[in-house]
Amino acid sequence: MRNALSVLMFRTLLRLQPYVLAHKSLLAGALMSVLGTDLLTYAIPVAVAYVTDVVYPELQAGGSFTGLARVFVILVFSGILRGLAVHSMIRFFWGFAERVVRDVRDATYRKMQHLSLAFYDRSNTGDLMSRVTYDIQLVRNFLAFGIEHRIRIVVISTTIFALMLYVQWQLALAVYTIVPVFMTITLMFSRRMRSAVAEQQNQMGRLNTRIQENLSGIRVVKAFAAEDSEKERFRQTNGHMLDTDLKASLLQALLNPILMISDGIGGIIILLYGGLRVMDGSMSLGVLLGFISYLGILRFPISILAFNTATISMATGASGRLRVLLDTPDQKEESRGQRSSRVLGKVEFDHVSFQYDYAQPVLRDVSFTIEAGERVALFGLTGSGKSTLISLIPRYYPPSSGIIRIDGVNSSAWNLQSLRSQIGIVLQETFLFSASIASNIAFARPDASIERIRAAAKRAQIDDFIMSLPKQYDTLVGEYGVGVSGGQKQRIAIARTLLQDPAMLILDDCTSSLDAETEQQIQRQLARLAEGRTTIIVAQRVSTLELADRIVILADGRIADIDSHSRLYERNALYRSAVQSQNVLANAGASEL
Amino acid sequence: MISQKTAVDILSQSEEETGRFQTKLLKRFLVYFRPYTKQLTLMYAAAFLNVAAFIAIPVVMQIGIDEHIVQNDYHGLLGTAATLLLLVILLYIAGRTQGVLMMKIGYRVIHDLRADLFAHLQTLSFSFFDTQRTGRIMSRITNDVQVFEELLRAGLDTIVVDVVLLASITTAMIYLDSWLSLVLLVTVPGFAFVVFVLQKYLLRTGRRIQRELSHVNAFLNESISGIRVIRAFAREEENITSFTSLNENYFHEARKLYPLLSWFWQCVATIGTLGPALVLLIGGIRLSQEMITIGVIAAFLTYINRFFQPLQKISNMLNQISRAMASAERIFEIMDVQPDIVDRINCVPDFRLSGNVEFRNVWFAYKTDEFVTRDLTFRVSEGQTIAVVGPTGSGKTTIINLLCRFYDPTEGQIIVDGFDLTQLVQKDYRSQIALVMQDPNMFSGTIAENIRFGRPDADMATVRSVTTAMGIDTMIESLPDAYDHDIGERGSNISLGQRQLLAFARALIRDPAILILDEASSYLDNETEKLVHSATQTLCKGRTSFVIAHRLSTIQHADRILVMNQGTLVEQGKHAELLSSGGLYANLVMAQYGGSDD
Ligand SMILES: Nc1ncnc2c1ncn2[C@@H]1O[C@H](COP(=O)(O)OP(=O)(O)OP(=O)(O)O)[C@@H](O)[C@H]1O
Ligand SMILES: Nc1ncnc2c1ncn2[C@@H]1O[C@H](COP(=O)(O)OP(=O)(O)OP(=O)(O)O)[C@@H](O)[C@H]1O
Ligand SMILES: [Mg+2]
Ligand SMILES: [Mg+2]
Repeated sequence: MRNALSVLMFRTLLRLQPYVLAHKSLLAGALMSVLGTDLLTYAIPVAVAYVTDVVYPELQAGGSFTGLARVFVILVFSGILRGLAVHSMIRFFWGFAERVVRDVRDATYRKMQHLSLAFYDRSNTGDLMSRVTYDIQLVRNFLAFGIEHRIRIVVISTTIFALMLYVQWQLALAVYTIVPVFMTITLMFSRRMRSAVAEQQNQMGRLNTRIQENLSGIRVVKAFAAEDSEKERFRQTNGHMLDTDLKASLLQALLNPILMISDGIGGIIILLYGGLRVMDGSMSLGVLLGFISYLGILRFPISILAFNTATISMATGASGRLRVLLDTPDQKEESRGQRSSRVLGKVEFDHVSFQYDYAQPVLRDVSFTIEAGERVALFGLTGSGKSTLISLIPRYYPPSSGIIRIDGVNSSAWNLQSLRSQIGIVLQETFLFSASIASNIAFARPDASIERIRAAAKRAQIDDFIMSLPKQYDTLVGEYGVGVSGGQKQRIAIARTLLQDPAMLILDDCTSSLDAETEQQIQRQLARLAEGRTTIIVAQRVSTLELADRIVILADGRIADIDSHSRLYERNALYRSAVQSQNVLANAGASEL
Repeated sequence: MISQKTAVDILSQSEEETGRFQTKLLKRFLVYFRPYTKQLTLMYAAAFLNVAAFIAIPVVMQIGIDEHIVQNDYHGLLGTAATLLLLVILLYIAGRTQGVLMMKIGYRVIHDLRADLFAHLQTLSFSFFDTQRTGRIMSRITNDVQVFEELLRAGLDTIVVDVVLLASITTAMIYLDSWLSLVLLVTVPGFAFVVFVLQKYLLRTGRRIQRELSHVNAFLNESISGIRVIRAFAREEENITSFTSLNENYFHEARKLYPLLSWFWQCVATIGTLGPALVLLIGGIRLSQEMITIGVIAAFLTYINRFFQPLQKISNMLNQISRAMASAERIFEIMDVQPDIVDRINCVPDFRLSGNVEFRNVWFAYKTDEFVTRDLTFRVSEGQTIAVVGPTGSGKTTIINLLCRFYDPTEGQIIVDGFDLTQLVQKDYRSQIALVMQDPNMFSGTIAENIRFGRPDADMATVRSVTTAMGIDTMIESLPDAYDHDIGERGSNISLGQRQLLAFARALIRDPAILILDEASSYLDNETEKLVHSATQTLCKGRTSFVIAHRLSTIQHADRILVMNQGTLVEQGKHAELLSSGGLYANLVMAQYGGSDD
């Protein structure tokens, strides 16, 4: 029974095995100290029994106080020892817990950094956050005092039982008849607690997701005057949180009083059975008093059992969730390619098809080749798969079928870190970190000198603006780039990629927020930069398309056409009309001029 | 109260230590218990019953031993056992009532606290969020609230009860034998001293721990939301290094806490042994003088044992409360941030917006003295379409921010339908305008849900009529679950252009009096863009609209074009007028289309 109660503890420990093992000496120290702590507790009942049976009768018979004084000194001494044992127990346990948890947190973060983008497509930031904060905290509690309490519950109750057996086995058995009953009850509760706690933790993830989403979209919420409806939605999530919290914690609150009365019932048994035995002279009064004080010692394990059961149930759930996360295959496992030579820039798509999680294909049987040093533009309607296509090149996602070759080598054979650091990509959606402008630009090369940072910024046409700020490159920008304008943000992102000095450049619609003049200046810089480097540009504007050697037209996930601008303009009617529609204004403007 | 402008300073100040236990803070926290006064009363009634039973048990035991067992009185013993049984039942009922009520009250309080915090965050204006990281705010609303939960779980209910328990046990002990109760004089002050000394350190470390934790969380949060950029730059390993060092900092603070706990529990253990030892010693002396019986000593031993438990619990609770205070500080700090932009008391009631807008000498700076709009003056009448153009960073979005009253002008006035913007209720006003922001920020959920965000009461037919008018109905239908397609967090599971289309639909479905489009079609291809714009024209016919666009083809038909440069309005007029005047606008047009002409 008792073992059954401890199964969860071992399961939880097992899930955290590598991290626990790394600090096993601390755990060993902690376990030793538990033993010291609990053994020294018996100094008092032993002394009580001895004093009542031997010392007091002597005193009452007019004996000297030396015996009493000796017992007192021994007790004081054992008190000091016990204090030390307790001290080291807590230090060991907490030291162990905080270290394990630190390692787990590191491991979780490491895992998250390497999890595939497909995983992130499915996950919520708030939920992931609650893994690393809430779940790990629960595991911390388990390691810091959950194990301690559980061990002490087991150790104290068994040693007390042994002691009682030794002193007076009949009375001991009589008292312990109640144990199986309470164990069964605890076991039942623990089972129910586990499912309640699992529900509670899931809800916690949902609550965090809700808050996270609200905060990151707070500007939209305010713009749409949706504060009230957001509050209402939060009220519901928060209400569910309350329900699940209560469901889990009421189990603890219900179990606790049941356990607490076990102590009273034990007292009744001792008094009745022990009393009878004392009366018929088969037992001394000292034994009875001793039993009462043993019961006093049992109060501690009993009083924490409900709390402890909850702590362990929570940690079991939390460690399970963490384990699932840590066991999710990541990009490191998915592609173990080792090639890490210089990228020359030839890109081949060989019958590549791709689909995201669901069955509908986004790219269908795409084949084309980009020669090293070529400048290719990608043109297509909204949602035609342009961003998807380029995200396959640095292997953010593996193709569902077909092969992508970089310099003639299957991209899965490349070392990801090496491949990606040689491909410069400006994503369509600009994301800046909340840090200084300088460290944002130097993201790829954190140790870059300020000269290099400025050179990159100059090429992205943003240096003048940055220098006009009071704190210049040390100006902080907020999350997602709050604090600078849309175009400024986009240029900082371009500078960030330029600083990387990549062998291949991929630009996904990265001048959409710029005015025409700035855009042209950047185009000029990029054209210089593109000399000899493979460049892939996703673009809508004719001015950009014109500059490309070839244009790939993507329609509905297929390659509709590939050719140079002038030839496409001549022979592809759709392309021609798209180009002409952009020139309407220019023509009108020119005629009015 | 703190104004929001200084929120940055205030929130960061909390990262410093001030060092003392704040009763004010405690009082504020206690306010949250007020709605539950009834349950609290009931809980304490149960608790006191509990205490009574708890105290009675050793007394009854002692009577059983001294009067019945020693006297060989079988019947008396049975009577005692029966009494004990009754007491145990009472203990159970009272204990259960108390525990259940505590959890209920406690979690409700946490629930209310969270709700308040969330509601308060909704009232704060843009400038607060400009300076705060989501991760840090999250940390306050989750981890700091969690500290309270731990406090609760560890048995917060007992603190008042335990005090009473202590008092009654003390009384009982003094009543039994006043000499023996001198033992308390040694032990109680010992405890008090330890708790007193520790509490200050606990508060301080608690603060630091929560602060470091919030750094860890903020970093983590950004690492998740910026994962695509991290991938793009293959920055995983560097990030792991940075995280490890933040985590190490946190660990560094966390490991300062448990030595304090160790010291505390060490003292508890030593004093806990000293108590019974003293009872045995003094008891022995008194016994030899035949002043007391063995039964009294036995009772004392039980009492001293029972005396320690509440004492430990109280001290432990005081410790935990010290730590919780550190979190309470952080929570109330956010609650104390006052929004910059508040509704006046005497606002215009039942405001119906028709769409006349006037900027009068508007000056604005995000950061003190760095003006980004200077002396803006223009006037727009109902139904006009106004284009705002200008180089990047010239202040276009800022005009929109002011028009939506996300910020108040530093100087000057914005007049809407003859009222100063500050005279309108924000909610009234904003629910009659619609904005497509430069960044199409969507929420996780289905396509339909996202479009309906603009108008929660809209039915499917309305949603479809908008998407059909925009020509995106077929595109949506082609997605795996059509309108029920889940677009993922921030809409990351659909293409950016598709996201922008949804943001557009979300605005159009509002049927607003003023429509504001800030680069609302920058990610769209030309065909889709054209469709969307003609939809806008039909759906928002006769409405005032503001259009910002770099692709000038979209704005040539505007009634008026405002040309911004470095925060000032340099030109305004119709496309043709501006073009012929040869100013900045003409240059912009040339830059965009000049190249393709030859
Ligand atoms: N939240 C903010 N805090 C501080 N400064 C800001 C903030 N938002 C914008 N700015 C600054 O104010 C100036 C005007 O920005 P605004 O966003 O209005 O430009 P814009 O005309 O919309 O440019 P773009 O075309 O690039 O979007 C810029 O220099 C920008 O750096
Ligand atoms: N992470 C994702 N998960 C699932 N589906 C996605 C994801 N990203 C894009 N899609 C879907 O794949 C299709 C192609 O999207 P993609 O982003 O490649 O388009 P795009 O050509 O870049 O469009 P845009 O011009 O709008 O940027 C779209 O239908 C989109 O909804
Ligand atoms: Mg795209
Ligand atoms: Mg802008």
